[in-house]
This record gives sequence, C-alpha cells and structure tokens, in this order.
Amino acid sequence: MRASRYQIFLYAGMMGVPLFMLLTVAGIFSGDFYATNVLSMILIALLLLYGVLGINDLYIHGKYPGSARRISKGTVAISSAQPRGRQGTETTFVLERFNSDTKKFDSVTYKTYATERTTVLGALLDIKDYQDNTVSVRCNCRMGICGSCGMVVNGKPVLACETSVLKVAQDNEIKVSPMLGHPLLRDMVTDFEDFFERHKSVEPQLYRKDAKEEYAAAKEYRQSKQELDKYLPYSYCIMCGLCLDACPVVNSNPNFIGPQALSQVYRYHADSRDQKGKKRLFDVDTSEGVWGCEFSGSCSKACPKGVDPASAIQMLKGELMKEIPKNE
Amino acid sequence: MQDQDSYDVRGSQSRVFRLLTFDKEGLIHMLFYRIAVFSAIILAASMITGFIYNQTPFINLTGVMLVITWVLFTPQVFETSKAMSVIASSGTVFGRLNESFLKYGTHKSRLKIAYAAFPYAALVIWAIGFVCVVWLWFT
Repeated sequence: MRASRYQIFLYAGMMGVPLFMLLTVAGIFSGDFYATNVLSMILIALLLLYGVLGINDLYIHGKYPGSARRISKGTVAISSAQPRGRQGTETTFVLERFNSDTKKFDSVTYKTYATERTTVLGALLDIKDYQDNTVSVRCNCRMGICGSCGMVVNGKPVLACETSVLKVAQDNEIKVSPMLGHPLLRDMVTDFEDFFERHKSVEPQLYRKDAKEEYAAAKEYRQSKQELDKYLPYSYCIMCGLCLDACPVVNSNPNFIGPQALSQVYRYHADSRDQKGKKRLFDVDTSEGVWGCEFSGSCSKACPKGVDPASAIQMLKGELMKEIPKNE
Repeated sequence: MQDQDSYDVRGSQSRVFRLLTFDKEGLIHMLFYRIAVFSAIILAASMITGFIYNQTPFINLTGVMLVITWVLFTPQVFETSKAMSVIASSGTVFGRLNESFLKYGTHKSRLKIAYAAFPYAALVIWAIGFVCVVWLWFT
C-alpha cells in the first residue's frame, strides 16, 4: 500500500475533526437529536482515527532506529581577549564548541572588534587567526554562494558569511553554535554526508526517455517563461543545509528525508524537460517522504535563497492527492 | 580517506523546542499537534462513555475535553488552510519565495486576496464555534 492510502486517513482526521466538531455543535444548537447523534458518531470515529494515526506517525513510526546521543553542557573556559587596537565595537562571542573527544559542548568566550561590515564568519576567522587557532569553522566563498558556513547564531540557523555582527548582536554579545540538525564533527563543523545522501536519493537530475538523447542531446530543450517559472525558485538551492537544521521533524525524527531533498523533487517534477513522470512523485509518497512534513514552515524561514521548501512540499502533497483517484 | 566519527543529537521529540528562538508560530503548531493526538483519543473515549452511561460527570468531562481539543486544533485549522492557500496559489501566498522571482516571475494569481484571506476566515469560523461550545456547555 502506498503511503498516501494510509496518510489520507490521517489527513481526513486532521480536516474532518474540526469540520465535524463544528457540525456537531451546530446539530446540538438545532435540536435535531438524530442528526446530532450521527454527527457525534462520525466525530468519535474521526477523533480515534486522528489520535491513533497521529501517535503512530509521531511516536512509533517516527522513532529513530539509531542511537541518538544527547549531549550535555560541558565546561566553560574563557579565553583572554586580545584586542589589536582595531576600530569598531567590542563584541563578545560565546562559541558553543562541540568537543568530539568528550562529546560535550565547551562554551568558550572570545572578544573581538566588529564594524558595520564585519560578518559573523569574518569575526570567527579573526578569532581563529589571532586568538585561538583551534577553532574549527567550515567556509569557502564568503559571499553566500557555496553554502558552507551554515551555523546557528543567536538561536537561528543562518549563513555566517551573510550575517552582520552588529545587526544580530544583543548587548554586544553573540552566541554561535553548530547546526544540531546535522551530525556533529567538531566545533561549528557538521557532517554533510547524510545530507548529501538524502539529496542524491531523490535523483536530482533530468531524465529523458531516450537514453541516447539523455547523454548526447541533439538539440536544446526550449521552455516558455511560464514553464521556467514553475521550477525556477526551487533551483536556487545552494545546499547549505539550513532548512534541514531548522526543520523540527528532522530534529525529532532523522528518518524524515527533509525539506531540501523534497524541494528538489518538486523542482524536477515541475520541470517540463524531465520525463521521469509520476515515478518521481511516487518515490517520495512515504511517511518518511512528503507525508512526514508537518508544515511548520521553519525551513522556509531559514532558507537564505528564497527556495521556500515548505511550499514545494505542500505542492507535492497536492500533486499526490490528485493522483489518488486515478490509482483507485 | 580516513573516516571521521560524527555525533548525532537528533531523534528526540524535545528537539522541537529549538524553534523557540526563531519560529514561535511553528513551535506552537508542532507542540499543539503532539498534544492534540492524545486529547483527541481522550475526547472520543469520554464521548463514548457519555453515550453509554449518560451521567453528568462524563458529560462534563466531554465538555472540558471538547474545549481543550478545540483550542489544540486551532493552529491545525490555521496551518491546514494556509497549506491549501499555498497549493492553490503555487506558493505565492504565504510562501517565502525568492523576492526577485516574485517581482519578475509570471506567477500572478487573480485570487491572491481570497487565498490570503482563507485561513483567517477559517479561523474566524473556528473561533465562533469555540464560543458556541463554551456557551453550550458552561451556561
């Protein structure tokens, strides 16, 4: 049974419970005893359906099979500030550094100077260069293109190279920690292998029915502006992993494939050049796929490129709902 | 290539509290959903018991549980209707698509205002229902 068969009941509960709660109350007000009883029975059935399937979805199906390790707060060490006489505002950086030996966080405080042009990444590299060369940060382009420097600044997942120190500092203090929605390696550096595997699993490339043409296309594939606009914003993804870090479902159930991969499914599904057809949709028609999303929308709030994975997932759900009557 | 050990802190329901610092709306939605699945079962059980025994304590319990479940379903009603608006408007309403794309793209919807108003309309109907429930059971 495809997941949409099972998920349709959960969604029927989600939408049916509010509807029948309203109808039952209306029935009581109208004084129609028979109608009220029938509506109450339907409401009871929907409530049970919603509750049981919801518990299965959240607490049983969503249980992480691996050994998730909780990490407790570690020691606090304060590094001595080494101001170099630079211009700017003195800013305190509290780095929640992940120690891979103790498997704990070491909260270490540094002080540095920031001007209005200083980014969080710039300040971290400054700390690494002049105060503590053991601080580990991953970065590359320093201009919001490569997506390497994702981290959590004052509780929000952001690209460090695009975040101004003085804009986010609260009382001249900034708290920086690694993205906890990814496996941790060291300090601010997270392991992206799992993330790239998720991306690869949805086969994010164009498929053509003619294999010969796929590898040596004889002509260009022309698209109208409308066809292009169907998928264009979803192709802006730089794979920074911020959406995965922000997603509360991935954080509580790492089996969920995550918003980045799903947004890419929609991106290729909506591309008129792709000939993989419905298979692309059906591959993510699972509880760990598109139906795992609870639409909190946090992924879209964290996305620095306006990809809006939450909308893409809802549109995938809509596409799958349209397919259900055809497959009955 | 040498393998590196990584450490995973994901996998607990309490991780949803990470949203507290940057997405309070999402946190309320997630939390209420997690509680609502249990309260829905308790409400159904109290309704069945009320039908069978027809005694005041069970009917009162049903009233209390109905009010609690009604409140817990409020974010669900809002978010579900928002999702419907997102699907109908191809992400232009309630979406967070790239600003330059929204400015220069061809995604134009004539019903944009209607899609934007739909979740709020659903919420108003839901709130009227809530007032009716409270009035029905507790006056």
